[in-house]
Amino acid sequence: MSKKSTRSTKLKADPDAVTQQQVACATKKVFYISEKLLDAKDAKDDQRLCLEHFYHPGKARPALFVTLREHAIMEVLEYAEPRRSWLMNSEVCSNGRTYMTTPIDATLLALHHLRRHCSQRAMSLDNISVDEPDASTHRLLTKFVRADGLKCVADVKKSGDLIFYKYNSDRALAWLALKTRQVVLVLKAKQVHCGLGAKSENYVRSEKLVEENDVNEMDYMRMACDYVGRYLDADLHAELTRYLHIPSEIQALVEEKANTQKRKSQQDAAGANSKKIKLGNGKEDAASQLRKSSLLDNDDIKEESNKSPSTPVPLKERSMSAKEKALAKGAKGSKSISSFFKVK
Amino acid sequence: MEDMEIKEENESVIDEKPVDINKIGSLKSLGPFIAAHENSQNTVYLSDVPAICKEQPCMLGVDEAGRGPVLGPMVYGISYCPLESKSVLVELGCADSKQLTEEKRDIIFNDLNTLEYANSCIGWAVEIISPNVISSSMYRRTKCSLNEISMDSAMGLIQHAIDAGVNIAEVYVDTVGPPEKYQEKLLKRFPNFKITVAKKADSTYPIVSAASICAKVTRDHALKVWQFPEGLLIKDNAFGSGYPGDPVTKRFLTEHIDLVFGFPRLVRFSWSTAENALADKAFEMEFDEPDSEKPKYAGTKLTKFFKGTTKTGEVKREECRFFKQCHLDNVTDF
Amino acid sequence: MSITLDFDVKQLANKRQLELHYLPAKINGDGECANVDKYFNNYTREASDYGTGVLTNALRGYPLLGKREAVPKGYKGVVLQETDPHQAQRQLRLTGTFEEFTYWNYDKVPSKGDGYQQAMTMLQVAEALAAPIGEAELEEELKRQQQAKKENL
Repeated sequence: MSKKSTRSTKLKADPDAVTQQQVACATKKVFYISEKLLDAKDAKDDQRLCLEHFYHPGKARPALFVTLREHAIMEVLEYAEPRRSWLMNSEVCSNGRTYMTTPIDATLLALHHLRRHCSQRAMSLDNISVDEPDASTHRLLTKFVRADGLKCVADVKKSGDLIFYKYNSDRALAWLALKTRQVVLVLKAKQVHCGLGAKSENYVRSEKLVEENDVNEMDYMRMACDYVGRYLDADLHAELTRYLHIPSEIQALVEEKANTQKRKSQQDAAGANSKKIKLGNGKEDAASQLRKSSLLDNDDIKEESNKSPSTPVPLKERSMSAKEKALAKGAKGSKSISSFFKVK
Repeated sequence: MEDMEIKEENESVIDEKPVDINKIGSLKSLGPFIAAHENSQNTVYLSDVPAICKEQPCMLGVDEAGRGPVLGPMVYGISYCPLESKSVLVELGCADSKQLTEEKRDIIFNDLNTLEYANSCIGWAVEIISPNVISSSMYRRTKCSLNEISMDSAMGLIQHAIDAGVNIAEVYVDTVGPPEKYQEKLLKRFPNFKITVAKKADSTYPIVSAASICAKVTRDHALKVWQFPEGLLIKDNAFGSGYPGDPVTKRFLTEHIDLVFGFPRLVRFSWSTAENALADKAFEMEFDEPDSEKPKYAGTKLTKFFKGTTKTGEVKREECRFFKQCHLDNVTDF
Repeated sequence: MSITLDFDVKQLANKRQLELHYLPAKINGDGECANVDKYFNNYTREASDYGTGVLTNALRGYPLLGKREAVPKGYKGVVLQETDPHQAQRQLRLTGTFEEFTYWNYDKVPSKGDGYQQAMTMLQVAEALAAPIGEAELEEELKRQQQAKKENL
């Protein structure tokens, strides 16, 4: 059809113009820059911010940081929703990311190097980076890592003008644990959703809150540790998780479910007792009543009383716990976890 | 009796200011009324309700104009009159509106509003459904079909008539789709009316014909007086019928493309004709998938708990869940 | 290899303010877009049914719900542009600054649940992680640690 032919002729004419524009504008970037880096009062002449790469332990490769001369460093993060773009005045910008400079304790970045080089012996910062292929480690350790941070994670020895550091695992873990707790506080204050599942604004703020308080506490701790962990080598992250006694999520889920089962069956037993009295005159014998109810949830009993006695509800419940056991052993499968742990 | 009616009518005319942009008293005032209302939003107009329509049981017809075209509003129209005034409709010439020329429709519309024998017993109303509203309804996350938009408009207009005091007894609706479902839906909402939904009702029932004329004349005028907030000036607003086959419409679509925004909002973006016209000619644009095409959320996947490994066998590190959820990451390529 | 942000802090104050829209679509193109006012801004309406300050508009027929949004507290919004990415010494120049912009969602009222809002919360979480740990606090934690170790022996 003619439509096709017009399309292709248009295609020949357009692309050049478009690509040229793209080259010029695709390079525009939206930044949120911390005012701490922009304090005009102590701005000296020729003071420029710099973007540079340093090794990021969580990413296991270099990532972008912003530095101000030789004294301030911040991490650069990008907010990159899959479908976003910017209109700026009368320009369209396909790069819909928002870059932001976020504060970072450079000690976290130093930990990787300390553990690698100074676990067995004390070294000066100068010496640590001597073997590194590029100068960034040297620059990081000598310019941006602060002594009062280092002494939290390492033993410090002074000899004349020289300072030597030896990685101290106990101190590092204690320090990281405290950092994690600081993070917990802010996660709570900001009501960040830390449990499993789709994030939802209202989910946590319900009557469930009280009942699930303990679980929440652990969810916050796990999320905080998860967050701190993204700045650590993988093995150190694992150490910190152990140190804070954070069970893995699947473990926690299984235990939680087991506890609710236990609680419920206790309640059921109590419920059955009262029922026994009530049903004492009834036709059904108390023993079978008790036997049945110990297998049932409270809700199921209510349902049961409205249905014929042969309703297979309890069977469903039992088969679920069998699945759980299988799951705890690390059962394979792609079935969604929530189908095993539906809130009853 | 008749004399009294005339008096009432006259009084109400005197009450109105001579030039009222919000009142359509003749064909001449239709254009200015439409032009005075924002064309990116829907506009409803109700004529005065003749007193007799509040007393006598009435029939009410529903029809639409401009459902198919890629350009301009879709207009829903209703008209109503006492059951016994059917002859007036015939006298006016309300027959199959598709058989009428544009000129003839204009004359009937004008007569309907200006001639006393007609406007004393026939009332009407229209809803101009903006192409902007049509596109954004059909492109919602939960899609709203043109049928739903149509039914909502039709039922809305009937409700307006009820609220204005029209004593409705019978409702006749023209439909292009299957009548049964439509009829069922209308009966559910208006259980007290005798409701007839039929194909080509506008050639069968004069009251539907009258509604059809009101809708069609309004749609034609809406296009004539269309002012582009985009600042386009088209001589005589000649953008053709709006049907995909019309070469004038085709040319309009190819000549007025903005790389980012696509078309002016006269165009229904949700029409495949419009979508196709933009392909290759404007920047490609991608939104979230509509809800119906997204895989349903089925809870956290069990596989999530088993750490993935890369091809070389090392354990892949999962990014902190919170970071992932809110699309945050470090910058490694810049 | 470092990239210089080639602007003086003092420049920021008198740099022109940019009018920004954060659009909920991937757009495969860059460059001049002269019709923003006539094709887009012209159609922005307040939609109080959705809440105070909620705006409506549409992009290519897709319904948008938006809100004026301020740059997070303690931050300055800037637009930077790379002069020439192929140069040995890469540089970003300052195009303009902004304190507010219009945030748009596709057919969803902007809320705290949006990824963007959650990401902004992160700024404060980062603050908490970066905050230094006091000497006394650390010693206390170390004591607890030693205690726990003994108990486990």
